[in-house]
Order: sequence, then C-alpha cells, then structure tokens
Amino acid sequence: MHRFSRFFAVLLLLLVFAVRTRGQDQAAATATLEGAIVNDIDGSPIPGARVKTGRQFAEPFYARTDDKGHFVFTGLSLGVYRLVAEAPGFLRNYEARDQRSPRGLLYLVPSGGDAPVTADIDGVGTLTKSPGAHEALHATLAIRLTPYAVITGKVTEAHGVPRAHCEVAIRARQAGSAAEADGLTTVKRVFTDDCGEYRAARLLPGAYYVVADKHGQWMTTRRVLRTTYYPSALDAASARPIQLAAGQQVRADIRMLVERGVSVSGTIATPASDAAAAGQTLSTHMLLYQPAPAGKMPRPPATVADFIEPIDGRFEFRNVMPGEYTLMALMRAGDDSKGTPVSAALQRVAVDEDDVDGLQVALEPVRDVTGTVTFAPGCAAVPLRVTAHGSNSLGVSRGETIASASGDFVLSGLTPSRHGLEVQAQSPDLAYWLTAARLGDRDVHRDGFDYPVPAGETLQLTVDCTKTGAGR
Amino acid sequence: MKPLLLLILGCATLSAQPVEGCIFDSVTGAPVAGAYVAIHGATFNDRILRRSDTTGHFRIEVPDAARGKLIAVSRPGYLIAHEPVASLPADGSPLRIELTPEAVISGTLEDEDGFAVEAALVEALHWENGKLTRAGTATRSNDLGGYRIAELPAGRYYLRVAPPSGSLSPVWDRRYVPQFYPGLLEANDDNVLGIEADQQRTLSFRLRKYEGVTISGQLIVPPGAGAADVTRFVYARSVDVPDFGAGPALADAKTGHFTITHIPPGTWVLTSNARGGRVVARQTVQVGTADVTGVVLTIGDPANQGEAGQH
Repeated sequence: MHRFSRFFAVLLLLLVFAVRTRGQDQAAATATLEGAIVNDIDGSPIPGARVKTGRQFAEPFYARTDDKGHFVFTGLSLGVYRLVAEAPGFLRNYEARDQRSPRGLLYLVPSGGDAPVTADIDGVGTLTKSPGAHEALHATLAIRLTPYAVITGKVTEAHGVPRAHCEVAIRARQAGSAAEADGLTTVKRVFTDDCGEYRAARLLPGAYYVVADKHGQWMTTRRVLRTTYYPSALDAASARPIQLAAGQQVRADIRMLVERGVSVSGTIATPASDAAAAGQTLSTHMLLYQPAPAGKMPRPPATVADFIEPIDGRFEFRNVMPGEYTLMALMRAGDDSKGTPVSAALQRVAVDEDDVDGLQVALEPVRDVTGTVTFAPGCAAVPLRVTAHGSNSLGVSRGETIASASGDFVLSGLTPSRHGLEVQAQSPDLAYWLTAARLGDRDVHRDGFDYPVPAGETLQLTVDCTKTGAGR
Repeated sequence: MKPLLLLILGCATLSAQPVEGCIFDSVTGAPVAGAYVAIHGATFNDRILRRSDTTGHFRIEVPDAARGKLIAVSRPGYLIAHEPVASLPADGSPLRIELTPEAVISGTLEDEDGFAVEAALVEALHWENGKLTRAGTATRSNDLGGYRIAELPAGRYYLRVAPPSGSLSPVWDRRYVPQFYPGLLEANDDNVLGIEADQQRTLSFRLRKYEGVTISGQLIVPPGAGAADVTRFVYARSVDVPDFGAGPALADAKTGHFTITHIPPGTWVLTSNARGGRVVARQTVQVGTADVTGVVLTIGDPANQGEAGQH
C-alpha cells in the first residue's frame, strides 16, 4: 500500500508537470482507449468479457467486449489508469504473473514533446499505437487472458465421514518465494464445506500439492488424524503432485491418514503446600511438548502432543508419535488458567514405538531463576531490563526484572514453557543486545530455555552495545 | 482400548463401568452412525472419545472419576450442540440421544452482467434480542458464485450477501452493496425465509446495483498535529456488515475536502490514519437515503469520537 501510494504520488506529479509545460490546450485533452481481449492459449477473441478502467479515487469506466472481443473507452482525461479485464473462467489480466501484487497500470500521460503514450499492463496487454502530441490521445491495447485451472475434491475421515470445515492448502514449488521447510509455498488456502467438499480456483498452470490439515472442527479425533497430502501421504516427498494445464479442472479426493502412536502414562506427586493447607482449590494441567526444530527462523509453532488434567494422581497422554518430548506440569491455585502458579515440573521423555508407563513426575514449588549479565569490553555496566517470555497451552509466561549494577538478576513468576530472552537498556539512547546466553552448561541463546530450570543452574548472559564514536 | 485398560489396571482406586447409548435422528428417527461421542469435563478436550457404530450404538468405559460428567455428541450433517447434551447416568442405564439434522441454504450469485459474484460473504441472519444475528456457517462464494450455508437450525432467516470490498478481492462495481435476498436493502417480512430442520433450500439470485449516497466533508489537520505523518486517506467502514468498507478517498491537500460515493444505508465509521496505519481521526455517521454532507474529521481531536451526519 505504501509503495503503491508513493508510486502514485510520483506519477501524479509527472502529470501536473506535463500539463503545466504543455500549455492550456493540452490540459483539456482527452484520450480514447480501445482494444481486444483474446484467449492467451489459442488467440481466439473473448466476447462478453468486461473491462474496467479508472484513476485512483475516481469513478471507473466500464465496457464489455463485442463478438470480436473488442472494447472501447472514450473521453478519458489524461492520467494514470488501472485497467482490469475479466471473463468467466479466465484469470484477470493482473493475476496472470504474480497473484500477490496486483498491477495493470496504464499511463495515459503525455510526458512532453511528441513522446508517445506509455502503457504497462503487466506485460499482458501491449500498447501498439500512439498518437501525435497535438491531437487527442488514442491508444490501442491487446489484452491476453489465461484460462485458470481448478482443483476440487472431497476430504474424508475413517468410515467415509466427511471432514467438514478443514483447511486445504494448495502448495507449489515457487522460485523466489519464502518456502517452508519442505521447499513448498502455499499459494491458496480454502476450506471444506459441511460435506467435506472444497474448490480451489484461479490457479495458474503448474504442479500442485494438495494438503488437508489435521486441525478442524472443535470435536474430532484430531489427536489421531494426520495432516495428509494428496492422495494419501504424510509429506511432500511421498505425495503426488497434480499437473495442471491452463483451464484444466482436476478432482483430488483426500482420505485423512490416521496414526495412533503410543501411550505415555505415569503418576504425579503433589507436594504439601501452603495453598493446599489453606484449603484452596488447586488445579493441575500437563503438557507433552516438542519445541520447534532449532535454527529455523521464523520458528514454526511448537508441537503439542497433548494437554491433559491428571485424575487422582494418574495421567496418560495417548496417541503420542515417536520423538523427544518435554513433559511440563503446572499446578495453580484456583480452577482456571489464571490462578497463581503454586508448583511445577519439567521432565524429558523419549518416545519410540512402545508405550511408556510408570513415569513419575514430582511437582516442586515454583522457584525463581537467577542469573548474571556480563558486559562486552567497552560497554558501560548499566542496569538492564531482562525479560523472559514463553507461551504454550499452559498459558503465557513472562518474567521481567532489572539487573543490578553488578549484573545480578532474579526472574520471578515464570510458568512451565520454553522461554526466549531479551535485554534492554532503560534509557532509549542506549542500545544493548544479547550476544550469548547459557543455562548451566547449555547454550540457550538461540532456542531459549525451559522452565522450571534444574536446581542450582543459573543464567549467564553476555551483552554487547553500540559504541558511540567508534568507527561508526 | 489398550491405553484405557492400562489406566484402569494401573490404579487400584479406579474402576470403570461402561456407559452405553444410542443416537437417533430427531426428524426421521433413524440411528446415526459415525457420530463422535465425547465425555466432556472428565479431562480436557477429547480425552474420552468414541464413535457410534452403524446401528447408532456407542459404548464407553468411563473411570469413576468421570462419573456425573457431561456427554457431547456431534456428526457432520447435524447441528453441533455447543452445550453438552446429557449427563452420564450414575447407574449405567443406556442413554438415548437425539441429533437434529441441519438445514442448508445454497445457490449461486450473479450480478447484472450475468457474471458470478465471487468472494461475497453470504450469511443467514435472524432477529435475536433485537439484533440481526448470524446463524449457521458464514461462507464466501466461490469463483462460480456458489455458496453454501450449513448447520442452520430451523428458523426464520434473511439471507444477506456482502460483495467483497477492500483488499480481499477486487471490487468490480461498488454499486453492488450488501443486500438481502432477493436484492433488497432491508430485512423485512417480505423477504424472510422460513427454514425447517433437514431442509435443503436452493436460492440463486442476481444482485442489484444501488447508487447509494455520497458522504462528503472535510479532513482538518490542526497545526502541530504532525501533518507530515498524515496520509489524507479517508476510509469508510460499515458497522452493520462485517469486513465491508468503501474508500479510501483522498482528502484535498489544500481544502481537506473529501467525497466517498456509493454508500448504502446504515451506520458507518469514517477514519483517517497516519503513515504506519494508526487511526488518527474517527467519526461515526448514520446514512439514510440522502447524501451526507459537512462531516468534519479532525486529526487528534478526542471529540471526534461522537456522531455526525444526517439521519
């Protein structure tokens, strides 16, 4: 939007300049714009297509093509116009190359002297004729429209039950786009209707992967369903891409894959606490958590295996897929997610193909995290604000403190989560940033640290700063 | 089954008793297969979850700790009960649960050129506590103009179509303003639709162009209000229709005058923002059948939160 307005501002200035230098008679000049709309595949004219052109902030002009695909606009005042052409089953003129940046600009701007009218409508339409400078402008355009391709299909679960309101992503390999880990970019997202049917239209010719997301309606077997690639694969590598030609319509039905995983269970021991002694209601929630893979920026969301309440000191996570997990438990005063944290636990759990039973989780009273800030040479030791923040299904965790002049700090009130770290000078004129962070003997700078931390371990932070007057 | 058995064997204080029941269609009385049955409140989310078999029958072994908890049932094609439907009987007697089949309204939308209206928000609205409120699923029409509103309870509805506006999709002609089936600006007794449970209703219609009215006024930038940051864009946003707006108009650099055309009746909020998107002026306007003139938007003026315009 910003770039666009700046762009317009420049062009509007050009127009003012042009009118001023070309004298009174040119200020009232008008333009005729005519053209033909043809099918980009076979060059045949498209009758009944419609065309719209207008200047920003002004009422647009409308036209339809005749039997020969011909349209005409008359009486346009000079200026910068955007032109949109559309016909049923065809991409709009500006959609043909890059669906994310609408173009279709047309400049009916005499730029001085006998220079021609210029046009650039996304390289799809080409201006073929230009007038002399002292007659009314008359431009002829040829606009080629590409028929779009469509993928439709039905997503079902076990027993043929339709998967309603499920997100279906249309993904492709695209050069120059921010691809996800598997090299694919999502070009379109649609949702299934209540019958599990979806329709993804306005696709360019190409190869596409169709992916049904495991998340969906509020009550499903979501723990069991896996995100499924057409026709029935867990990842792009084993999926079959759909080749689409211009104008082609293809059906791709997806049967959601199911994987059951194993059971992870055990007992949870609650310490005697002041809150319990005072007869307060206590609630415990547990989370089996797999942090996002290290080193991926931006970091994809963490994988949450499950989120449960233990019953009578027993807990069980079901349908857990193999992997390394962190088991987090949090007991709060009160029975909602806003109660004060009383005790917490954190434990690593490795899951393979077999059930894991007999885990013993011991809640311990929540404790503070202590640490020290070390300043890089040349940086004044100033009091820094140290912030740790994390979030997951157990809630948002945030601790903030001001380190003492000697660099010591204590973070309080954290709840179980993976936490990122930040430092900030209290004066806005000073820039300090974290260059290293260690907890015990582990590097936690990039991927953060898990709370609760083992007893006796402290955070060691190293910070650097902007050195004023030094080579800058 | 295995995990649940573990849970039972692993803890001597727990026992399990099956809860059984049958699920029926409330209109036809036929058994409903493949419905999800969940014990709600026993644990978070879907911890105890089963599906009914082809005879509509289900059986769940429930630990004693979950006794007295509530049971929730859902199946595509039936209304989702947002409240649990029954309590677990303490004595283990079988449950009979009825599901109400959804009603569906579907069809296609076209404009006066016979072109499909794409990406329009289509909603079934009904009066609730004096306000028009959405029921069933909201849907956006596809490239063929097709729409489908599902999960509708029986009731009296108005079908409202709001063509796309703003950046969502290109606006072909702003005169296609939000309207009620079969092309009316107001919801009244003439266009109410009586929908029964399990009914499949097809409603295809052609949207009509409305000129609407023009809102005009002046954007005032007081001295010291950070004029360099002011974009001079004025946006209009409908309070009545979600995601529906008009503009931006560009206020004149010298006079501050702006004009926004083709505004249908209703309550509108005019805003202007600074570079970066922060709203710096706001004014609520009631739009009827006459043009609204003399709206004053003053940047940074807290009094600008009030109402203006003609009714």
